Amino acid sequence: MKPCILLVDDEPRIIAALRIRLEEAGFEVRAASNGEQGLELAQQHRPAAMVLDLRMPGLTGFEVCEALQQDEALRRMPVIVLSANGDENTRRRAFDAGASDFLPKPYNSLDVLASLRAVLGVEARSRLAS
Amino acid sequence: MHGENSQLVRWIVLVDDDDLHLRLLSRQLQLVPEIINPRGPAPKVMSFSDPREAMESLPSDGLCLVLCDYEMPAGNGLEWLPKFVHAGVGPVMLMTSQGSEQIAAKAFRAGAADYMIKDEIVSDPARFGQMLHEAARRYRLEVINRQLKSQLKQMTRDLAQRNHRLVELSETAHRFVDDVAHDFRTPLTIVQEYASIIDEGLQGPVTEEQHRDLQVILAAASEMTYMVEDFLDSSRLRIQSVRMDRCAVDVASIIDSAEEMIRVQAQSQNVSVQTKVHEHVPNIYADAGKARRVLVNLAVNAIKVSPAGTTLRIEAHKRPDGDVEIEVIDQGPGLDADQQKRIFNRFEQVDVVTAHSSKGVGLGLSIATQLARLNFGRLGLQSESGRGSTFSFTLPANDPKRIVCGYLHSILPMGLEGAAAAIRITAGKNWEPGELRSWLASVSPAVDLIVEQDAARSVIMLGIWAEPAERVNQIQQAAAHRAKHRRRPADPIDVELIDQWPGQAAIAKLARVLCECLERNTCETMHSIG
Repeated sequence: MKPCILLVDDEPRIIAALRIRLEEAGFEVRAASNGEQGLELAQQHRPAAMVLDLRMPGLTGFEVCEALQQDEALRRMPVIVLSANGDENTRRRAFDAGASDFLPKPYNSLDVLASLRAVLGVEARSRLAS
Repeated sequence: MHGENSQLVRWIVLVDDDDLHLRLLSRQLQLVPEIINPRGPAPKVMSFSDPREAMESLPSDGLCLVLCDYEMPAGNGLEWLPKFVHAGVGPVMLMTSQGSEQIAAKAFRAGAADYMIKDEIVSDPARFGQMLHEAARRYRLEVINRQLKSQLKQMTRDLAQRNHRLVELSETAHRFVDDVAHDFRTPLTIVQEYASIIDEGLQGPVTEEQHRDLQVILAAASEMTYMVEDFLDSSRLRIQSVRMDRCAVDVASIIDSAEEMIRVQAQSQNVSVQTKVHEHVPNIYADAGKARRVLVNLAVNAIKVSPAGTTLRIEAHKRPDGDVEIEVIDQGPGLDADQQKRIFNRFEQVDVVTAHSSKGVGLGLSIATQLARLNFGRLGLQSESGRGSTFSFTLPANDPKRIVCGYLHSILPMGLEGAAAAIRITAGKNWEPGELRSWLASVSPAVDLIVEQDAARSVIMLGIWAEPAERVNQIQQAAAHRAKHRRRPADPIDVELIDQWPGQAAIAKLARVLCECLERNTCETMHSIG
């Protein structure tokens, strides 16, 4: 079974582009267009990792991170934050909220894939290889 | 307002149920008018046997002394005292036939300016006059004091309001810049991502021609990304909202992180990039993000003038003065003396940021200059027509002396007959107490230094201030800022920069208070000023 990645971004074109990349790299992809839906899908599907936008209508990425930290089952799920605001302050806040990695937009897709491989456990990586 | 007339006692109101006493007191007053009013006419005396009547007849033109008897049929003098005080026409004094400490204490609690015994009034009229004179003088001072206090209160309120408004404006400006950043970067991400998805053949086979065209799109998108960054940086520089996150950092990591961005641009121009960190390059103390930006801007600029097939070299080395220099060496056409001068003139001008940017040397270099300066460094240029150019910038080594030095030099161009720097130096192994003071003076004779040094903790304050109220406000902010950022892990270095601001005259008291604040990590003590 392929490792599942949950994409959470309110910009459908970014979701679509990331989906192409991640599926090509051997991941199963699920997507949510806002934070609330993201949390719901995370609880439902227990993805291997989440790729999360920060600025979204409704729950922000920071709030999603914090909610995940409160959830015993999801606390250990790696979260890679992708944000169009890459200043130090935003980075720090994201890490404080529990992000595993932070990549600024415009992102380099190789970086996203490298980051995912780095944060995923050995077991998920082996499933990816096969 | 402070003329001699305002110091005069115009009226004396006597209140006593005993007519004999009233006449006696009145006569005593006639003996000493020049003591009560040393340089003016004698005060007019009004006598009342009934305090109610006195109360209704209190004059309101000029200072009025009220002398009230303690025991009267219309009520105890202590009951009437606060009423006379409340009327606010002048000082009120209590008279009794026999002295008692208890009554005296009660009188003062009720607001009496003084307390006197009738026998003494009769036996020593000069002393009586002197007491009245003193009471009037004190009353005047109290009035002025109250006025000043209320003025100060009002000014503090106004200042707080203005400050609040400024904070709001600054936040709005921040939000605007962030919004613009977001709105530009999202479509840029989409352009870049879809072009590279197609280019990599993920959507089907790509012809050689299509690949070339897609590379053009990608390079243009990347150029656009730099332009957005430049725009954002220049906006932040304009609204002076550039936050510096300084810490000890490895030079190689800055070059590594910049290299990737530089390579994308270099590849599109068919320029190769070589990087090298020479031996013995120390760690620096800087905002790594800003340093990276300076390097990227210099490199992108150099790539624009590099002919295809040439190599761009990026090298870091230690300067003789101990700082680190990063050089960007191109094999472009180079610049003659005239062109060099023009470029330097242009990027020394802060206005270039706000003015038009042209292709080539524009916004990028101007931003690089300003960001380098914020990192206590400066840009350099060595070039010769036909032999390429070397643009360079310096960064301070992670050494307290270099940092303080860099800091002072960074605030010097701000037109310092007076600028104030608050620098905290915790006792580091590199410093001898006392050595610091003389060293600071030698580093920057142009700065009027107030150095407060605690031998144990080595807290150094450099302070030159203008308006005290304004300074207090700024110092509070600095102290609050410090207190807020305290929970971050301590820097491995000894120097911490608190704040800087322009100013004019030095006020040692504020420097001392600031020191105390920093010691206690609180700004509570600041309220005691003024």
